Amino acid sequence: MKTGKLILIVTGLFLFGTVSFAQPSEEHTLTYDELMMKEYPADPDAVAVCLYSLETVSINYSPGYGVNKIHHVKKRIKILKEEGKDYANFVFYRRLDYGWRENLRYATAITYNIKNYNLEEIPMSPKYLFQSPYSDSREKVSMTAEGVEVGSVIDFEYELESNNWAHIDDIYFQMDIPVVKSIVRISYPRFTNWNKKQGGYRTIKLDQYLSTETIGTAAEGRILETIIDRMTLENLEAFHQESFCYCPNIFKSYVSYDLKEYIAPGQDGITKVQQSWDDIDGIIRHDPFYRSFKAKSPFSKQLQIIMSQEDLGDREKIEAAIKTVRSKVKWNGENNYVRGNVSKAIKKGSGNNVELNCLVGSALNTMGYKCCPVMVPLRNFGQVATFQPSINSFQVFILCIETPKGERYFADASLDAGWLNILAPEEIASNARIIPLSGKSEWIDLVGLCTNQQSYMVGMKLNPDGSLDADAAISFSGECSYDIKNRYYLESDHVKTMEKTMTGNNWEVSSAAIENVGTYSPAANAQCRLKSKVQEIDGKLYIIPFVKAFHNPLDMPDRERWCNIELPYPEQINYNCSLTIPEGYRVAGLPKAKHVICPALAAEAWVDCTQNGDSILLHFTYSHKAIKANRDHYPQIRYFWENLGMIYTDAIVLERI
Amino acid sequence: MILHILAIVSAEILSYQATFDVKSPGKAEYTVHETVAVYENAGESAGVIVLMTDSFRKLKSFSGEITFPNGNVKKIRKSDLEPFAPYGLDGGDACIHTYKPAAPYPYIVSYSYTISYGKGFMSVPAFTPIRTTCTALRDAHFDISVPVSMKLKILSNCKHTKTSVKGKDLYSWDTGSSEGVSDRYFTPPIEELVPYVYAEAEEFSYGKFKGRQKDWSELGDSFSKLISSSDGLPEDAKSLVGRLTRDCQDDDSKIEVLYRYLREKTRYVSIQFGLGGYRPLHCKEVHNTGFGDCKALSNYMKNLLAAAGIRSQYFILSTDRRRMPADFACASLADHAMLAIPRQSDTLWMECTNPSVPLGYRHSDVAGHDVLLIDGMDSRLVKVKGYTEEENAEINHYMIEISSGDEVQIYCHRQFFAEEAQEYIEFTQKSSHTQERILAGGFGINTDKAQDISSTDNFSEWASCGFIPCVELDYKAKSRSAIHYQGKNRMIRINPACAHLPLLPSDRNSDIYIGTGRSVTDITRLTVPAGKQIKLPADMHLECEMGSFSSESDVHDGTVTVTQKLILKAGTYKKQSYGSFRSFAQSVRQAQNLVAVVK
Repeated sequence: MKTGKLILIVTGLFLFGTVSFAQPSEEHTLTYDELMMKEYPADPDAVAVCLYSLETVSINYSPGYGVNKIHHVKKRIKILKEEGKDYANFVFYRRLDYGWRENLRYATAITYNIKNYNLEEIPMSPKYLFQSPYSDSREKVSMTAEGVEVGSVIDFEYELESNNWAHIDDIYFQMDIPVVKSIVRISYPRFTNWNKKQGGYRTIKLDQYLSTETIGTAAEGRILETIIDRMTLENLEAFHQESFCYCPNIFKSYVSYDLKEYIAPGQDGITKVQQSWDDIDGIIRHDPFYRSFKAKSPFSKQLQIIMSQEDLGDREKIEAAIKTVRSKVKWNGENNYVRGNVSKAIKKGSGNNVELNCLVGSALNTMGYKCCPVMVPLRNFGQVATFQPSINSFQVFILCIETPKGERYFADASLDAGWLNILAPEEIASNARIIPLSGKSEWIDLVGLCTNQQSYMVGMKLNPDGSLDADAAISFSGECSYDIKNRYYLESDHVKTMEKTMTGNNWEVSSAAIENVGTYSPAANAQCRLKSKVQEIDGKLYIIPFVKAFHNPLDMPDRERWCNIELPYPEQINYNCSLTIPEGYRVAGLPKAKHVICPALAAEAWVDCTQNGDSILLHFTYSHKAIKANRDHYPQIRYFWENLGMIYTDAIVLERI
Repeated sequence: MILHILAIVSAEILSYQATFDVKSPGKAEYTVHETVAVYENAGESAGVIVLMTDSFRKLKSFSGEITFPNGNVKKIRKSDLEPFAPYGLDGGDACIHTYKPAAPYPYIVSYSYTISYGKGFMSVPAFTPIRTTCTALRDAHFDISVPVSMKLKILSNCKHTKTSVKGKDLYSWDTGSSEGVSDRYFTPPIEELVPYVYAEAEEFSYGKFKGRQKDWSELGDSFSKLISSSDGLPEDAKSLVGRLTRDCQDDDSKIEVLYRYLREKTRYVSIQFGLGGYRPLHCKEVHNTGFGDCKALSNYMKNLLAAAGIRSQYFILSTDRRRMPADFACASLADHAMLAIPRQSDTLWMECTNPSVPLGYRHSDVAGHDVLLIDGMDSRLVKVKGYTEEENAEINHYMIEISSGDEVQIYCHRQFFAEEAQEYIEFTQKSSHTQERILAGGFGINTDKAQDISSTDNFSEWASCGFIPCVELDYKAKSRSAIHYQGKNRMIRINPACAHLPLLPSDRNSDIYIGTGRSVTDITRLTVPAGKQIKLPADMHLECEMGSFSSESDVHDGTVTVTQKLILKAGTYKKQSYGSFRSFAQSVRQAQNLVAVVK
């Protein structure tokens, strides 16, 4: 009786709009044309092509066994060129961790060749199926097809079974070779309800079907209804990486299924898995990491001293508290989502990002500030779909700190190169979620928390031997300071760090000293001496007044692209250069004044060069306020980049009097 | 804890103690205790442990710890090691165990482990404490203990002592300190600069296989036996060879036909079980599956050629190390197998793992290398002829046409010879997108998409005497970056090619090593617009020990021709010459950026 009631409730709750009973067959017979194909007309350069891809995920229920999930994959690959033989090897992964374990039911590969006008079929021997450990929780499964030559068609097929039916990995339609036809079928009992999302620049065609079957004994007469979502895409282009793109995967065509709610068979009432952001906030609030924000700080004595310093403002006190915690517990280079053990980290003197941020969080709350976690979707994982609540939307958390005066700061205490409002560029998300210790959560845009600026004061001097010396005083603030500090962290040397910074115009760094690169601080300053040679033509000297090219047109080599453009952060550059005209010379030409703009990035650049007595002064400013632009604007941005590139090569011309 | 921070190193091996103890024939234990101080990010790889096991080697015990500056200690357990398969497809029984510390710098990491050998070994593990750049060594010690009956050969740049105790010979080495290698460009092979010990037993047993390796001839003989067990084509393969070659007039055409067959029917897949590290997969298996590794494909080709009546020799080589010590035969120095086909006038060095390599071309991993030709007791070490810097040539012709405004059209005709052509061998196989990227990378200025790309080669002429492979590329591209205005004058870059030499850092602690000599000639032609005058940069000639550079320009009938030629000579040069080489490289880079002024 209970199950009968269940079906009734479920039908009432999750009725779908239009469903059909007649399902198309997914059998795709290998055709003569496919076997004889010499090139793929839509992409004659393709080394291989996926003729047909079928991926099915079936959530099955039976009264005796409960619910399970079968994941079945079939790919038919055509080898078109020698290089395409790499696609005769096929790799997938299966989960081994407790509760998620997937059993490999079978994996096969069959090669088809035309031999003397006959179809030759070569099945893969089981000894060419390899299973090897990949990580703590995953195994790598690889197989290699036999008898492969240019022209072969290979069918790869495998099936995984799991009791963890509530989780479905994202499924991608697109591959790095063209795909002729791709079908994804997700079938699930009507007593489950899923949040569905699709991505990529192509619209996925969706058909829905309903299948019914009698379960249990005929006398019980119980009906199980299963919904089948059949999604198709045809003639998909091969996908390749592009510059200025944090998360190329979101531009691939894919579908994502997150379980929203279900009615457990044999039970009354709905089990909500994820329903709203409030639910997700609730899950986060129950996590041990969140509770540690409310705990009393183990460093309360030191914090009391900071609080008693009346000459310090709130900002200085917050900075001092972060420095105190970081002096006790160093970042160990590890990152996690929310897992950490604060007391172990204190004992060890080092901890991961979670432990450090929790310690700083509790320290600031102990001091009387309001400090809570901000859940951040890293930019390389794509954006949060705010209309589809999912705990998987976030990858890390940072801190939001509020002073009694209502000033708000954001920080990731684990970043060696970070500071208040200076985050790692991957963390600068437009949709992060503040989960306060009391009150409602809110979305926050982390772009533009601080001014990101690099300012150059350069003095150039021409030597009698035709070489040019330049002394540069440079200040980096905001994210620009993060970059230079991070570069120093990789190079561990002042000169090498500046060599990596002063690129593009052939200047040699003779000496460099950078302040604050090895410390947790808000800015960095550099003093740098550079050397270059001057070109002399026909008695005239050609002097390039830029010690570096801030933008390299070669970074945008492609004329077209399909991913949107994403820059690390909004930025401003000020560059001032002065050159003393040596005795016996006069000015024969100066770089032209220019003003170039790029509306797509809210960007502009000015350059102006003037003579003032025996000095030549060049002033250049650049800024972009937007960090994202649609791919339709790419030609405009590329043109802008080229124009910038030309500014950095314009010369001052001096001639002998 | 005291951290001794050196200015020029990123990590320091504080101590490295290793013992290889042969308990009885075929059974041994290799025990290592190492302690490494990692000072900064660049030294991180020195703190990473990588251990390899297979059906012959088991990881008996493992432990480690990380010590932080405040004295706290983190234990590392055997379960912390991350296992993964060493070959792309994960085929075989070999497994790599690795651990990478995640700790703030500086820290000290120590490892202790024992690897047991139960079914024999061919080589004593190579003792090379310094494996990464920017790593110094304070001290290292290596002991090898063998039964007195076991004769040991040694190759080392450190002195050793030998004592005999209780029926065993004990060989010991103390390396002393070494500052390691920290240079990024033109660095000699690291193994030539740091302490090393290679030791081999003159006789070995490896599983059921027994062999001798007193000298290269004996080692080759042992390999001959191992390889011959994989010989034997199935009958259908033999008749196939007959069918394929029945119309061939001579051996060269048979070689060509069979090499093409190898290209079409096989591919590289690495699968190694048991002796598979040294013994090829059986010919029959390769014939049936269509795949194998370098050993299997070379041996399969050898059998195909034999079926066509052509004699060839299997050989092994090191792709990293050019020189093999003549008096120290050692299988573990080799990492690749190929095929040599003696001909009347020369020898064909055939790459069977990647048959798209043109016949007659000695690719960069074999040209100039010592190789062991496997031929029973007649096996011998020979040196494969390398290419000279004049043969490894790149000649680029750029015709710059100034169109309207500040845009130019560049017509490119580029010729690549010998090793310079290697990168372009499969150029036509690549997608147009990849082709465009490769061609864009050849420019030092931004250009639009390359158009009208065409490619030709001379690969079919392989059989001719003194054959040098050549690839020629023709294409055109527009650019707005080659030209800019200076008042009323236009300034045009005289060489649109990318920089041929890197920007060299100021500090240097090793000699300058140029493994392969090469020459690059850029010839740029530019038509002066009617009624305009052109001012060209002065000619220049630069010489240094490592090479030369010249830049010459000429105006004739309104056409400017600028020829820049760079020659780099192969060799190892003393580090005292680094200053002049760096200055040479800087001048060459700047000369490539010179501009002409059109008035």
